Amino acid sequence: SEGEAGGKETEKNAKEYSFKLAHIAPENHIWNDAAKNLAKELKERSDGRMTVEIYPGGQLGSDADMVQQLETGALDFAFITNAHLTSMSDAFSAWFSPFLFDSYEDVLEASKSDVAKDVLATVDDTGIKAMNYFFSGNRVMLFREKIETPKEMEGLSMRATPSPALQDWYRSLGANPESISLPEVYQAAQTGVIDGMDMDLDAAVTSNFNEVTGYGALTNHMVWPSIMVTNKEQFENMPKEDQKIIEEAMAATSEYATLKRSSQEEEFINTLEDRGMELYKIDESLFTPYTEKFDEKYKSKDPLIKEFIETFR
Amino acid sequence: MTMIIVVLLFIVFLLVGIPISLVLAITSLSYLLLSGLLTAMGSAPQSMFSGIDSFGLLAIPLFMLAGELMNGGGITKKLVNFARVLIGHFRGGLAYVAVIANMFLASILGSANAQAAMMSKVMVPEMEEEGYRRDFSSSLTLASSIVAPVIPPSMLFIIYGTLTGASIGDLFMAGIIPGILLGIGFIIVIGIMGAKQGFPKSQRASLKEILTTSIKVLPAMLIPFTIIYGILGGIFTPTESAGVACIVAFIVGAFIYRELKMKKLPSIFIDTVINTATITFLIVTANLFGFVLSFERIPQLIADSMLGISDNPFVFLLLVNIFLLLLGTVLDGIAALIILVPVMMPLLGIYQIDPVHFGVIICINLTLGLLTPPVGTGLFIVSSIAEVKFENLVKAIMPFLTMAIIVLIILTYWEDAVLWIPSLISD
Amino acid sequence: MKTLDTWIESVEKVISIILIATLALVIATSVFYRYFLNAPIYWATEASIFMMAWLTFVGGSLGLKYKSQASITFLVERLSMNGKRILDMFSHIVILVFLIILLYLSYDWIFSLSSQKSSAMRIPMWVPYLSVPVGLTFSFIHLLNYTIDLVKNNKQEGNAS
Ligand code: NA
Ligand code: NA
Repeated sequence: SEGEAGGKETEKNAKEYSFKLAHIAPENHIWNDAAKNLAKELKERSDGRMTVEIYPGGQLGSDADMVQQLETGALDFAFITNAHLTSMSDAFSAWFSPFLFDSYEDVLEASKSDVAKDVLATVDDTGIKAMNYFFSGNRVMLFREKIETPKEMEGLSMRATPSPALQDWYRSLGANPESISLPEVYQAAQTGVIDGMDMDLDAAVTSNFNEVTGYGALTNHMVWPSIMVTNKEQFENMPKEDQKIIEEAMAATSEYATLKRSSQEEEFINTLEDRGMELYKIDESLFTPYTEKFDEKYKSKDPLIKEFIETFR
Repeated sequence: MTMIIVVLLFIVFLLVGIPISLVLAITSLSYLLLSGLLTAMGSAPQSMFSGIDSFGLLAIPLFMLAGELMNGGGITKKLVNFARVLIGHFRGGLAYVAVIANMFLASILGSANAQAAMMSKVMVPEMEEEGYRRDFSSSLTLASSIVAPVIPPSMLFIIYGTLTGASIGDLFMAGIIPGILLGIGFIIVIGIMGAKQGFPKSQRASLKEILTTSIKVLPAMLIPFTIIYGILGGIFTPTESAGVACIVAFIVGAFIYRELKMKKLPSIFIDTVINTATITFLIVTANLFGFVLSFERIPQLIADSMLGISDNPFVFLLLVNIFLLLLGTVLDGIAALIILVPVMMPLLGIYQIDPVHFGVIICINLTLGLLTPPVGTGLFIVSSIAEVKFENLVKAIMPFLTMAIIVLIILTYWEDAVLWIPSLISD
Repeated sequence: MKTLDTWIESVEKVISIILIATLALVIATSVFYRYFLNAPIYWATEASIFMMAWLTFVGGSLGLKYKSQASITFLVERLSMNGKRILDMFSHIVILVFLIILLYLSYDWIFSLSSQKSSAMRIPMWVPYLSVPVGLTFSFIHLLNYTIDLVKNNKQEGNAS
């Protein structure tokens, strides 16, 4: 971080920075590509003044840990899941409105909008600053038995990330959301503790979920934002041009990671099908009544969520 | 320089007898202080909390409680008696009973220390009565208790799975063959020693006795049955099984055997909490320790230097085994596991070692630390409960320890023995 | 000091009894609700973890009081009674100093928390987090009491091991 690294002043009065960047995804995950890209962008745009040390794989702890380290300044940047940020500010739930975006390209555009920036600003009164988004892992539904309509989901136990919006979505479908911890998900699906899971294709490939859930509905019902977060005080004390470098580097990374993930979609589908998983679509219109119910509930939660949904619906 | 000072502090604080959990916290803070990483110090409490913020670890208090309830409810005794009427009449019969009963019990309990304490209370006096030497019976009981964390359920596997993300279900399945191999190994040792020394045998049990004992043991068998059926039948996860085991143990002890008295409950609960916390508090401070290590990139440094030695996975595993056995002399089981796993994880990918295979090997290895002097928790527990001199116990345990190391080496190279059952299940 | 120490010990015991019993019940009940009633208890996982956090820090403190936490004693045991006492005093002073630092950090952490809520129950995160400073405070009082006794030299030797 800036203070400890000495913040060396060169003759041009341009500071040098050695940043620490952490995230929870493994080294071969798209998030780590994003991290490396951000490091590269920062270095190039600052003519080598900004270097980044990357801590992948949750080496520095969970989302909660990293947020706390960002607050104290032990850490300079982290990629935090949108799911975690919903526990700090309700407004982030807006991104989990079902069926709001058609493609990675769409959601990337949406992230540049004013209302998306307003959502980021809702954590401004804490010690962290949410800077920008990138998107990886649109949600799909994996099942042990073939489920072809939302109606059939009634009473199913579905593992979903423990964030209220995700769990509410399954509740509104009449399913029972379960928050079994990730290391236990495989076996829970294998033995039937759960009937299915809310997942993304990347994770399905890496964790071999095709072995325990033979059917996958390519619903793409929700997007999966990752938020690039920094220490607020440190950022605001930087010279304007350095702030600009960071903002531009992040914008570039947002674009890079989201589009790269978009291009991998087909490969993941092929891999899963090769392994014998049956992947299929469910007519989106069947979900409309449930989506409306969700919108109704979440619009009344927060004016920003209302504005968000009305902008993109 | 800072690093050297901190390593010295670590050793000194350990040697003067400060609890290991506190040593981990103190060294972590000292390091951050001496390196001027004051901002990172602010993360210490959060990092400690995160150590315990994990669903899988819930199995620790729950299995502890199940064990205490089983002891208080006379369930342990019934299991031992059952094994005894079946095989007690062979030469060295009670010695085999000790091994078999330990394997039974291991299918319920997840901790070697708990099991060693329970079994030495029950087995050692019985064996003495039949004319076994006390140092032999206590060393045998202690040695066979190490199957507890190998045969599922297992606290060590749960902790390993939680630390690494490896499937806890697979780890459980992977422990079955190694657990049985250890049992067979100990039986061979008894056979050899028995032939040399002429072990006693008990009278053959009458058919009536066999029948009544078998009926009496049925409710006790409910517990392993519930756990296995519940997990395989998709009723609950391995972690949840521990909670269900508590309820079943309570019902069997209180209402069927009627040995579990209500007034015993508060002390059972308090003992459970204290025993739990000796582990979980260690996990908490080890998480802080791990945070500092990661922050300073120590695991990567170690990984790099290991790679400098050899890129052969077998050589690597052999080195790891030797290192862990040495480490196990001063630090055992869970403490060592929690400190080491984060350091070693990056290496598994590089050497292409299956995390489940690795988990089973290092868990067995670190459990052996319970049997090795100078610091062997199992040795301490059993020497105090069975009232055997520490030195005598150490001497008597050697044949068993040797056998356990042989089994460990076999498992290190014979990956299939570990991974076969998990592979059956996933097909 | 002594009264405070014993009083805290009783509080810790009561907390322990309630938490461990509730923990087992909650987990078993949640299995029952999911499997038999098909109505999972959505807060069971989170509540259990929070209870375990409190168990850990409160039970850890009890464990320090009863000296039941794992430590390496084979060297210490070779010392004379007097040597043991001096070493014990040294290690307790080291522990107390670091506990003060840790307590300062923990209270600083608790009071500077941003308004974060738990993901299932939506309760403020200070509820589970508070287990850290509370458990450490209890530990501090137990160990301080022990150290005072050591200094006053009226502690039975037997208790020191
Ligand atoms: Na076991
Ligand atoms: Na040892």
